[in-house]
Amino acid sequence: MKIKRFHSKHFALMLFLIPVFCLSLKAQDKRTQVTGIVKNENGTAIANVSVMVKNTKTNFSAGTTTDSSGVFNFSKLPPGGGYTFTFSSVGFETQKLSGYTLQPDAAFTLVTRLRLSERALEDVIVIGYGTAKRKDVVGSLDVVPVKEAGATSSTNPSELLIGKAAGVQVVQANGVPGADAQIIIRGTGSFTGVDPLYIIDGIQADKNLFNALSTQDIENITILKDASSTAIYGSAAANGVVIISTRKGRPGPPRISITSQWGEAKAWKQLHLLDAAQYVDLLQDFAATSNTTLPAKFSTPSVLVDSNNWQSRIFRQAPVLENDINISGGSDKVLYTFSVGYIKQESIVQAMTFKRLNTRMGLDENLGRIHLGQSLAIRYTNTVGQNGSGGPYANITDGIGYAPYKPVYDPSVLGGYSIVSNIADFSNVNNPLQAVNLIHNVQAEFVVLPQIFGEVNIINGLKFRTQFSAEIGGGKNTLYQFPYTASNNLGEPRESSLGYNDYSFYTLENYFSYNRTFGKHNISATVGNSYLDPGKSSSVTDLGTGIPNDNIQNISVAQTLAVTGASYGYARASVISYFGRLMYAYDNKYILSGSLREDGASNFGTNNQFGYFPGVGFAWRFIDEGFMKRQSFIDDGKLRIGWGRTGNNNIPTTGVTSVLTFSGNPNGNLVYSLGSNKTFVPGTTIASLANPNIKWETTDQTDIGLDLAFFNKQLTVTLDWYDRKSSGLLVSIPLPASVGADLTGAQPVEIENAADAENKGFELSAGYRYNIGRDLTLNINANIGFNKNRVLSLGSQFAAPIQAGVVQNLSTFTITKAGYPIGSYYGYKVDHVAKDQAEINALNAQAAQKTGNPNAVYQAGLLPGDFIYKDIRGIGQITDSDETVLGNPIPKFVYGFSAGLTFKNFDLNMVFSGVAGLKILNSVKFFTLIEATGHNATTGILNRWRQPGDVAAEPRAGQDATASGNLAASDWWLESGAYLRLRNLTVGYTLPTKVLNSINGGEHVFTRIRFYIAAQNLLTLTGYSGYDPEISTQMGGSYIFTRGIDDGQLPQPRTFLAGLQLGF
Amino acid sequence: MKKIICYLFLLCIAIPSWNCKKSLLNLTSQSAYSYSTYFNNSNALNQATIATYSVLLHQGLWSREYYFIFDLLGMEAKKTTNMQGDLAQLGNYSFGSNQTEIGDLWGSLYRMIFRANVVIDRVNAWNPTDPTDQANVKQYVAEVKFLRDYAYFNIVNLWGNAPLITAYDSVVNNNYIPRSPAASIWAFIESDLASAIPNLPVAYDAADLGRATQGAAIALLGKTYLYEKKWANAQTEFTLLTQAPFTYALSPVYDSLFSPTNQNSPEDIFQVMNEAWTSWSIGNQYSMFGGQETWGGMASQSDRAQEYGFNDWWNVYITASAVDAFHYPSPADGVTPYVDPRAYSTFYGTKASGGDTVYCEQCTTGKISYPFNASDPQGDYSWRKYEYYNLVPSYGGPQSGINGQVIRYADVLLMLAESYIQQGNAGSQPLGLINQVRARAGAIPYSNLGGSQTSAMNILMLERQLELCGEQTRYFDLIRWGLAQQVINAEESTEPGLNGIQPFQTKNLLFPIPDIEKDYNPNCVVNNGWN
Repeated sequence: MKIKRFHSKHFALMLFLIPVFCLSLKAQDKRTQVTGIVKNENGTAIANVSVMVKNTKTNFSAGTTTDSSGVFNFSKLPPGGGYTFTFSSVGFETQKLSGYTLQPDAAFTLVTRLRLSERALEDVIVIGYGTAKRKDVVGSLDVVPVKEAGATSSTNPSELLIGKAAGVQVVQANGVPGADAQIIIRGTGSFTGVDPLYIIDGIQADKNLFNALSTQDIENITILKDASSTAIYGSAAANGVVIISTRKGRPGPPRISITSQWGEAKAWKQLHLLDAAQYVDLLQDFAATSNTTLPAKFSTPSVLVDSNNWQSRIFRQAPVLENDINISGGSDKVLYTFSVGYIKQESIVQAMTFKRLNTRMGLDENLGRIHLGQSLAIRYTNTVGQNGSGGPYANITDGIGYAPYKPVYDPSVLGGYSIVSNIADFSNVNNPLQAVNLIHNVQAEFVVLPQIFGEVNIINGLKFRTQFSAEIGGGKNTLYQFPYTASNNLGEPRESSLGYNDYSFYTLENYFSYNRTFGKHNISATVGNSYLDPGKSSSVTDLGTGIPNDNIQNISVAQTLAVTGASYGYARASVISYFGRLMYAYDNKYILSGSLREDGASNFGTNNQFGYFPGVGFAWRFIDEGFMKRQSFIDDGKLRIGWGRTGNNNIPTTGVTSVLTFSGNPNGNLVYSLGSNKTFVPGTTIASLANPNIKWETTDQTDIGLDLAFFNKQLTVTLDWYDRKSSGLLVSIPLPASVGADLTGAQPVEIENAADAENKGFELSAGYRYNIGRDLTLNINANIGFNKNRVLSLGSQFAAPIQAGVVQNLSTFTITKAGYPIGSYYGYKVDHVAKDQAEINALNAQAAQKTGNPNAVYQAGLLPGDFIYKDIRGIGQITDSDETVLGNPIPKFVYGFSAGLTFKNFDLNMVFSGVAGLKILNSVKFFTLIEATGHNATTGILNRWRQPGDVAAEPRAGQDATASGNLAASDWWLESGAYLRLRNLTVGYTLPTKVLNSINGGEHVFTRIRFYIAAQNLLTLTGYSGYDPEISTQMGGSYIFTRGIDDGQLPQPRTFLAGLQLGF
Repeated sequence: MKKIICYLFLLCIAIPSWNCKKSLLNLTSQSAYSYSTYFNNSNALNQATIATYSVLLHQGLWSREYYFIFDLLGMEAKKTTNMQGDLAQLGNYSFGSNQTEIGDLWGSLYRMIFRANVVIDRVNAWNPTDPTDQANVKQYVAEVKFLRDYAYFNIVNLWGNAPLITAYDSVVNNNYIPRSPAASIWAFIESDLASAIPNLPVAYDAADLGRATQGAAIALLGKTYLYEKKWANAQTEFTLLTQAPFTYALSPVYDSLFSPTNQNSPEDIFQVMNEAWTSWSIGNQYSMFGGQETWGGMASQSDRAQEYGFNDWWNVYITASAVDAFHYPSPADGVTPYVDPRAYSTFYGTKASGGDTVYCEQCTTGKISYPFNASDPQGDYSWRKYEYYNLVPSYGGPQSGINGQVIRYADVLLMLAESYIQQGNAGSQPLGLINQVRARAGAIPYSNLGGSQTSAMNILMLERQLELCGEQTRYFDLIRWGLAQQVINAEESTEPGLNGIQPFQTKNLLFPIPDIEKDYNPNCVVNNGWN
């Protein structure tokens, strides 16, 4: 489906003379020069074509690549017969020219033309535990070649997938540098997680490791969407599989590429805040409706001074810098690759800095029948910033709400920053610059990922492979807090903390694979096993207080030390699996595939430990049928039908099937003070109930797909329909509070296989590729995925809806219940703002009449200036039953569009992506449009109700900050979350060969020089009133029950980048 | 060795060895113990008992919400504009079944019951043979019975019919327990306390101060009888506390009952132990906001001083009606306006109001005048009880170590007086008890109780209001006296700032069954979405 840019340097094959010294010594004097040129069908020269030469008699071999003029050159080849030249380049069919004999000391010239490959049908695609040719694939999958132009400016691997594959939504967590992104494939089908399974170079990994990779190290990403292909991964594949192939070394001399880019990120939108006079007016209004008076200060002019716009005080232009270097090469026996990447990024809100260093080393050895490989990836990240509740950057809602008349600094306040208090300022919002400057937090983390494999060709077609990978990670967290007094005169002490954590686990897999063709029959089989080791994880955090002064800012000088956290346990569940797959193809036309996996996981009780996950798929390449030969409209056609079952065990590793003691978390925090000295005495109890009957949840998916190609295969179209039904979903069922087995403020829960959910959808992708004339190539991709999510049941037990998403300490805003999408918003529907008492009296009279109760009121507590909610049931009164499902944060469709254009030496790439048919919850409205506590707001609040008779859009100022009245959950909080975003726009220029040659001055120094400029998020089309419609989840929430809630997360920035790529 | 064999097996994918498979898939927790094996010694069972006490500090209870709920509902406290969140719904009775603090209270009371049932379940499973162990577990069981009876006492008064869970197995076998009639809950409390009393010590060693004593259980049993209107039984129980072996007496200084050193007084019968917050390295100052036992660290402070304190968060005023109550005709002549001296200990205000007018008496900077704002339309009276502004001008965070008074001897004396009066005795016995309480505070004694049961009750009711103002008893008293609707609506309607509302409806005589119960328990029958 995806069209590969053949001239991209990263795809270039570079082959070189293999240092077989005895051979070269013998033939030193008599050599033949071979030159040639490689062109495409249109006669345009093709750069970076790999040219291999091999002498079948002497086993001599050598390799090179074409330069930007399509010219290749072997200066010294030993003379003799039996030479074969092989030309290969991505996107073209490999061409072999055999039977050449080279004369001594003679020049020899070759001209050849490469044909565009048949829509890469022969491309080898990585599937579960093996590879397959694209034409033999029976499942629904997308391959995203990473090095499509423009991808180089992505700083995070997940970004590479945005807008590239139908039915795959990539939600960036937020705009914090280094934040990860969530890949959601075909909707939400589980209550415990939406993470797909990540496979890196054939070995199970996780989201953390995926995001640990540098984008520069990735060759391509394959997404397995349908269950006939994912079932071989059984457990953990319920949300699809993302397979990452990293860049490998290629034969040839050391090849060095350097990419360096610099840029600046900035928020693309700001809100309009009230000035000081408007703010004071708002507070006066608020005080009047709250039956109180403003503090004395408000009768002086000092409060009318516009000292600061706090929003612009905290937002900033944030520089970003990224450098990558890759060195690779090798012989046909040993290949190596080594890369280092460094990125430094600041947040667009003060004052966080993120640094990341990636290195990756890979070795690959071929010893006849044995093939070995080793790789080691290391990531180190360092984040410097405040560690507050909102994040490591200044709190955005404080930036909206802090009093505009306040200066930044106030030397009379401990710590030096100005503060407000309820007593003096009628507000207790924190100075947004205070904590960010007075708390210094450094988080350093590392991950090491070693992978090794060994593969043996046992007999013809039969291979055995054993592979091992480990993940070793950890971190260190240091914090220093200057002593200060926060708003409302709260004392924050001088303190320092130091914490360490580490974890490690390994994965071991072995399998046999067999592939043989007998005439028209092709059989391939795989059988193997896998073991996921639970590993270990541990952490400890120490807090130091009683630090005498600020001259030394670490824990070592603290006079009191206390362990504030400690943990020890498993890094994950252990899983033992056995799997097998059989594929049979007849005449390349009928392809049948079946797989079965048995998984056993430590999460479950003895009786339910094992689960069985089958998958079957069938593909019919009808294009090869006789009747299709008579038409010329369709150039390629394949029908795919598949079904499979996958599973999920995403629940705590221990403590689900049996009851464990609880002594506080961290352990030891459960105390009561006894004795005349009120000494803390430790307590131990239990805080949960067990469910010994818990078992695997299962997801059954049916997929029907059609692959078509038209117009000489320039246009390709893929259609897929799927029905994904998940049953026995693992879910924490809330139990009545009277059970008592919980912690304070919580509700007792029991994990059960309770719920059923369904995702049905339709996906369409189309690709178009065309070469116009010699100098212009164009490729366009578009995709769209429709998905309908629905909870089918919450189980046979008491099926109380799951309520979640408490915002601003108000009520829950989301509900998950049968018949509706997971995590739907729930509440009242606002009709309008009550104009005056007469209007309310009329409603009350109506209520009295309809209910027959003379004292009935339409809506309890309704005052002029309040929202009148809709009486959905028409009984004349508003009660809880008038709450209804108001929408949901799951897009009805997700779409993407990308285009690549090359013209002579210029290249242009753009990626659009968008979502539509969803609602998001703007909880920042609590600050921007509501005055229930003293704080500044946006100019939108000027549209509030002020006096009887006002027909206002927004409610009056002043009301209890509780989930009642105007702050009840309602559709007023919701907005459309639809947007279309120009993710990436890159324009590049590659120096032409002539210029390159003159720079090189006859030496082979540079093979490539490219400049580019790029813009990320240049354009966003949205109607959303907040900072950014791309909202992942509530802060600290989940993609399942609290998705799409904007609490004032850092928006995605607009970034401009300039970059330079050098190839040596 | 076994591990190595397992790895070999995995490498070779030989004939599946199920035994090996099982061992790799059998993970035992490395961070917590098994319920079935841990509680088999006195120490562990003591820890389980402590965990039951610690619920007293959970949300809805005594580290924060309990006093807000009952002071606001009892019209003793009134919100300021600083008050945020769901608490604000309590003052004007605008809450429904989703009211957070009422839900928290329900949840915490049942958590206390659950933890008590855990102790009893584990003691039954252990059956120790050593006499010391036997004595220990007897005491532990008696202590947790007191705590679960305290929980049920609250539940039955506030909600009436409610799930009655008396054993751990009950919730293991059925997560959805139906409501039992209030009468059977009252009966359970009576019998459970009766079985606990003999096994509780009269007093503890200094190290165990704060645990439930025999006196505490007797006081709770007396209170149970009183609330059930079993006056004679109540009188019997309360009388026990005035006799040996008990040595209860009124603390000489009324003020000291609400100061940071308010424990170890002969007046204490049962207190919630609040340890002053000292350091972030031990506990979090804000632990009461849900960090109990988790992110709050080791902390048992109360945030009442901070929340009620006029120079700190100042979330509530004392109501004008509560202030007015301290002004009544002098008991000496029944005519002369009199200001009860307890006003000074209860609130800050003007000299005329009787409240304290200065604070920071013991600060190094010297005393400061209370900044009474005469133009405040709400009446600017602030709480002094449970504050320690005599020591510091402001607190800088919640850190109060003032113990919560659950039952104190003055309360018992007044309840004893009431049990006499309710039996028709308005004579010297109740008079003596009431005057005993008044005398300690320096209030003029009554010469008689007016001669009738009604007048005696009126005096007693006022006395309870004044003596126990801000101690979360008035709401319970008004409900049990059947006066709640009438009195609260009268007070709300005249209270400045409340817009003349009369919000107390008949349904308010009981709390709504909270959503966290009714929405998740199909067997919990709730009428009209309320109770």
